[in-house]
Amino acid sequence: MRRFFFSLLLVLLAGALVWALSPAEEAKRQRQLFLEQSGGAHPGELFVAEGEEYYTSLEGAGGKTMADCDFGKGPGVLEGAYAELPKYFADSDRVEDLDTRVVTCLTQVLGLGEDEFDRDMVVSLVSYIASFSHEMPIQVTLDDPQEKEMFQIGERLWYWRAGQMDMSCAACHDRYPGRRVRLAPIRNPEQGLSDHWPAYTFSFDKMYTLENRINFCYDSIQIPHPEFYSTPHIALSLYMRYRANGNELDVPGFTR
Amino acid sequence: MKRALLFVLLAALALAVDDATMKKVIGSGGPDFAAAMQQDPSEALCSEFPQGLPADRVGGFVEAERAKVNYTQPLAGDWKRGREVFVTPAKGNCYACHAGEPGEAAFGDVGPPLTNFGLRGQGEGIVKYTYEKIYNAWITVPCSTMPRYGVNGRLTAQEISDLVAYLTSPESPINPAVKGGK
Repeated sequence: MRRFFFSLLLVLLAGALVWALSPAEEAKRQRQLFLEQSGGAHPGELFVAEGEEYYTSLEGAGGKTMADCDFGKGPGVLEGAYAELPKYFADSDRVEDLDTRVVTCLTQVLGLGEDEFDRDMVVSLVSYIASFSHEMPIQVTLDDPQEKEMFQIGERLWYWRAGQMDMSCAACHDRYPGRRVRLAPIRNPEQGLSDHWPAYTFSFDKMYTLENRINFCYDSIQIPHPEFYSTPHIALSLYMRYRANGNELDVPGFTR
Repeated sequence: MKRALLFVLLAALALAVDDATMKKVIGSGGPDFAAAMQQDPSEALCSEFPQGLPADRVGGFVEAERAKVNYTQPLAGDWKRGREVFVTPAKGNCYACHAGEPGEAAFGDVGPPLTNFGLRGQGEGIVKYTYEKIYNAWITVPCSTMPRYGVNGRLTAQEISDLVAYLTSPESPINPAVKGGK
């Protein structure tokens, strides 16, 4: 499977060079090509299926299951939950994105210890839960004071220039949307920067969430990325998603 | 696009959270993240005014940035070494944002193309301008997206002078249209 994806990747990269003049078209074409060659199967669905397996089989102390967890629409309700995240949760008294909320569910509701789950499990669960919001419009609100403050934190991080490259999110994503870094098209949140995460990324043959996407960004500007589930992730996710309100989610996504 | 513009306006009006809160938030990302997110005064100013510095702040900003340049001699070094710096991702990584040699197709377009940069001349003035531009891009364009390679120690003075040679020398393969070149 891995070898297949790798050889396919080489073909796609060669195609990317030829197609260098139109990044948006290039991305669309690569996706189509990939789906045709893999027999129409979206590799992201494998991770969604794995997440479903965890979701239905995990059991915690006192017979609690993941269906006892509230992802924002009530315990066990997954339809449309991801479209409204990140949001404030009264039980944890904080704003959480889906990654963080899954961890809260595993540790607080099921009572699992830190060594009883790993990042891959969280990513699969995020993929599964997010898939119930596919093609739904993003609807993030700032009704709670903690949501408002988290948005403002996200906004300051967005404009925060630092590191050896003097970079910030905004220095590229707000100043140069529509242009390219090497061959990668730059988008702002309104243009869908965050709409397709969690996504299957074919150059790594892995599933990644929006937290991973934020990490790629920091790593590429020489700032060691923040730890998973930390406030910078939640704040930037909320900030980008709020700006993308009304955009249709495309999850699991598919990207280079 | 309209939505983006509206947003930028709203952002300018919004009351930001205070510095103490930001310090706590950034600290929560872990020690490596927190260390790298430290800002010098100019970075902080550029973050505060993402749409451009107010007119009365530009003079002092440029003066402070100009004082950070260390000049080496000669300002234009070896173009062959400069070519390595230009293409190496951990060094200049210039193709991320600029077009360069005509044969390289995988280039970004965030910055202007540098193909035939040498047509601008080889005199003392252009050599000094090019050196300063790479050493500290914020002298000519305050808060430019281009990193301050010399100021931040991303490149050494030697590496910058080699880049200057690569960009200006008629011998350099980035300058096929420059007379006397290859």
